[in-house]
Amino acid sequence: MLADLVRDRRVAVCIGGGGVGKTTTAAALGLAAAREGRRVVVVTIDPARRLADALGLDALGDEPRRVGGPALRGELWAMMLEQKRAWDRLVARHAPSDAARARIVANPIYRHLSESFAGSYELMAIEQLCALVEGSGFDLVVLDTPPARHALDFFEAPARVLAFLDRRVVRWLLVPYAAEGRAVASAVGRTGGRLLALLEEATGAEVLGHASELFVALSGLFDAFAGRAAATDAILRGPDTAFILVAGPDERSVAEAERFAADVRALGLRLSALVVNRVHPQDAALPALDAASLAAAGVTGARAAWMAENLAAHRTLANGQAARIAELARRCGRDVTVAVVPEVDDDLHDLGGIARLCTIDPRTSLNPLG
Amino acid sequence: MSANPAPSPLERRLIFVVGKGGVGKSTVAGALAQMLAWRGKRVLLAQAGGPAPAPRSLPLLPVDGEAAMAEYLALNLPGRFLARRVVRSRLYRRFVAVAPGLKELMAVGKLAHEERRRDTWDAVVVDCPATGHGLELLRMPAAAHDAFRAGRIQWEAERVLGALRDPARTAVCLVTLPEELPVRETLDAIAELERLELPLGVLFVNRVHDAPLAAEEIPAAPAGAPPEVVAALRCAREEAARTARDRAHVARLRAAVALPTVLLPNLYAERFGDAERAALAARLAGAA
Repeated sequence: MLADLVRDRRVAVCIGGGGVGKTTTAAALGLAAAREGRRVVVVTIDPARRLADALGLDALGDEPRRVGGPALRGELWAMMLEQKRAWDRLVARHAPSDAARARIVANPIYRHLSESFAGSYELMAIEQLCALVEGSGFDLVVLDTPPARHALDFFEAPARVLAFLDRRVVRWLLVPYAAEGRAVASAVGRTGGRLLALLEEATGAEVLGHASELFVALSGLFDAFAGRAAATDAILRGPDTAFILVAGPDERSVAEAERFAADVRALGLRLSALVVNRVHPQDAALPALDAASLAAAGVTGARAAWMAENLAAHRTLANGQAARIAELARRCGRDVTVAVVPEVDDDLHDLGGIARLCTIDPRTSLNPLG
Repeated sequence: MSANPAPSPLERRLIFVVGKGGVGKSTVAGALAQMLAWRGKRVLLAQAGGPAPAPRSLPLLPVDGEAAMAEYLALNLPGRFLARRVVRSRLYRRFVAVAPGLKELMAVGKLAHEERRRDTWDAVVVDCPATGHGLELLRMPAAAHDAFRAGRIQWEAERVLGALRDPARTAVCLVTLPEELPVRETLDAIAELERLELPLGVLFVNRVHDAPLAAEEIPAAPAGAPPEVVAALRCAREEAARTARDRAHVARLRAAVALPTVLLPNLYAERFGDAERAALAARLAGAA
């Protein structure tokens, strides 16, 4: 059962590229665990609106909400993490006054940080994960991650944001710059001074001033993040955390998944499972189709020709996928559980559809029909 | 604003191709560039979303905002050596990280620069990062223009925005699949592109199934039929059902979107290689 992939774990992080069914897989894992009696929360990003509706997420909320559903011996909770709101909430908590909070939120560099800076969303997701693990009494937290090109994007995000906010790195430059102006630039050294002059001329002094002000204003937040870095790392690297790589069966997706698997290894972490979605079922080897037997089924002429061609095409596709998946599984390593999820004949965007995924047995991996 | 009617989208010099991850955007961008090259155009295929397989004969340009920023700096600092030291300096890296939209602005600036080289290129096809980030590339020059109120970057942002918004020069084409999530994201992307005042081009719907029979026309397997016949009938029914679903999504798109729409077939192949890419380009040549 799909729940096997997260048994004995407190945290399951779904990683992988875009368009592979990560969000659906995260929801299915959560549902599977809840059916077994666990108290689960699924943290999703940008789910399809129908999935959001099925999970009761149509109303935007910053807190997990309980999802009703059939055959749930445990509890399934879900929340949708929205980047900008998560940042604004953190700022509100750490700002010394409402006026300070308002200034931060209006700062254009803050808008950049909270909306488009690479790693900004992932940091919020990690913060949310840790809050749920340390707080709320859930047995299992399932985290869906944004589509990424590299696993590193997720794991390096906290360091990246910390580096961005670290006022100490350029304190010798920006703060004096704002206060005393250009005279300090020459003290920075010729290269730095020339660059500053160039950047000032190119952009207008406002950018550096805004940045300076923001870093000082967010120093409390920086200290909070920095202070938690060790605890966060302990959760991500702990034995109770499972990393689940989600992939599709086509070439691009498999190549991307191979990269993810290599990245995870390079980070000194372990993948616990690989889920390959939307796989074309592979028939066991069959005798060649002949016109007579098709005619006996009432199919002749151009229709018969098309059906024969269609069968061959489906087989070719399935064979290609099976070979790629086998190679991907081999690269992931023998200790990685592989779950192959067949293509279903409908979009999976509600709890009923997702429930069907829960019955996939990870052990009948590579040849679901044979 | 030009008084002449805008050239048709695929006749323009700067063609952006956007789409969600997994829809085949890079493949379609490559096929589009190939088709234009077959028409006798000098085409540059720019990859702004990281490396991707592409038709072999086409000139490729990896587009990296940081490298473009470094080039920009090199033009303004005396000496290549100095420029290299600056690019490695903490201050520079910090500045690029902090400045909203600067990297994307530089990337689009580089593309606009290539588009202006009329002696070299007739068309620049840009394979954008998967949506989310793809639109970021197109959205950021306006953000940079607002953030940088003075100076040379403001001027560069103005120039780039001018090129992006010019329907005589630019078209933003979208790639989607006949499936729920891609369709929804495409409709959202179109709305945002219209808000950004960017000229839209063709909508490509990829991997559209096209069975010649409807599911009802396919008989059930008779009792005792050999397994290969059972399989053939089952696959035929699946293909027919998939075709019906795809057509419903295409109809929904056509109803919601006023753009020229091109349907691309689902190509079954063990591996998607050069032959498949050429087939797709040929299909585009016929349809677009």
